[in-house]
Amino acid sequence: MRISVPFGMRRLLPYSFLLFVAHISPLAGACAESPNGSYIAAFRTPKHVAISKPEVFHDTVEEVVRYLENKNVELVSDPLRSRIETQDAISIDSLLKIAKDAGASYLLYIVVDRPMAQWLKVTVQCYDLDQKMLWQASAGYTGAFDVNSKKALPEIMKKLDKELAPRFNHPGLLLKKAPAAPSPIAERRPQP
Amino acid sequence: MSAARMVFLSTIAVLFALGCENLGAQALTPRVPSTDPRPIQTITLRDGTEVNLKFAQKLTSQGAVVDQPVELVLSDDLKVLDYLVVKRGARVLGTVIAGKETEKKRLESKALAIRVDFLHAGEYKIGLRGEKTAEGKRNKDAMVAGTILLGIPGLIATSGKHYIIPEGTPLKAYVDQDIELPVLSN
Repeated sequence: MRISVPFGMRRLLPYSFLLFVAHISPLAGACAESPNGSYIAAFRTPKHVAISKPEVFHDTVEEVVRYLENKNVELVSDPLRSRIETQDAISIDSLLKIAKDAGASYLLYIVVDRPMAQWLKVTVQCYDLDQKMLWQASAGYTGAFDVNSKKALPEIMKKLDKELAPRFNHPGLLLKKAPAAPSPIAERRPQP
Repeated sequence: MSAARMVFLSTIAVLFALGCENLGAQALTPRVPSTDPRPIQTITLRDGTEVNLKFAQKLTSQGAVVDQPVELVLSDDLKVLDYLVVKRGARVLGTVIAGKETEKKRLESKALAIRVDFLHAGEYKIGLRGEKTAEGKRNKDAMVAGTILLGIPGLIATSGKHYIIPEGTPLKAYVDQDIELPVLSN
């Protein structure tokens, strides 16, 4: 049996494939999961415990978090508990489970240290949920004798800024998405 | 290519595209509550059911401060009869109830105890209590069983100096009250 197709219809046939591609592309976009923000946990090293004060540790973590918030980095908080700021180590594996549970895609692990030769040292490590360390940035301050670790913090934040700035909107430091603007068509719709 | 074949292929492509459009709509639109009259199968987890946990963090008498949250995990699947209700690895939260009173204190606490609060499983918080002990380990690698303060519900305790509870230390807790849970697929 032969089916005859009018000549005009024949010319349209290849376009059905274009129609197919046009319909399949939004589906692909819907299937791809966009990554969420970062979960923050902080660790105080034994050296910092031995030489420095807990307030310095908490102030340092608070300052780093404030800096990230000011830069509009998407941070995920844990609905079950307050932020982990501990001197009793928690393994990266456990922290990543907590991060995943909280709905984050990355872990930012802030380590606050007090090495012998420095007043304060801050390291920010970024992990993905597969336990892979994606990057780390650190900044320390070796000042004069009249400096202490609290005074060192502004200097450390300046150094951290230089290291973290190129990473904004990249894995670990994804920026918050702007709320969707109302479409111009909707705005132009006549009011009843 | 014959015209019939072209028509056939084009029809398939158009139908597939329309089908994908529906799929796309499903992926993008919020889920509407099912009108299926069949309820989700649930089962009651009874008060007193034994739950195997392990510490998901290290805890020391030097670092633990009263009211500090403690991370634990479910170490075995939780089942009622043969029905799985909570999968292994679920989060459990506890609280330090005996430790340093404030973080500023340099001296470490003379007792270390935690209370097991709840098991977090999806949208459910399953209340737990514990009355068995966790094993502490002295700093100098001398094993000591921390078997102090027995019999106080919700307490896992060690006593003495330089106590460390390493991450992964097992302990048992018990379901605090009956709770209805959905059955999970294995």
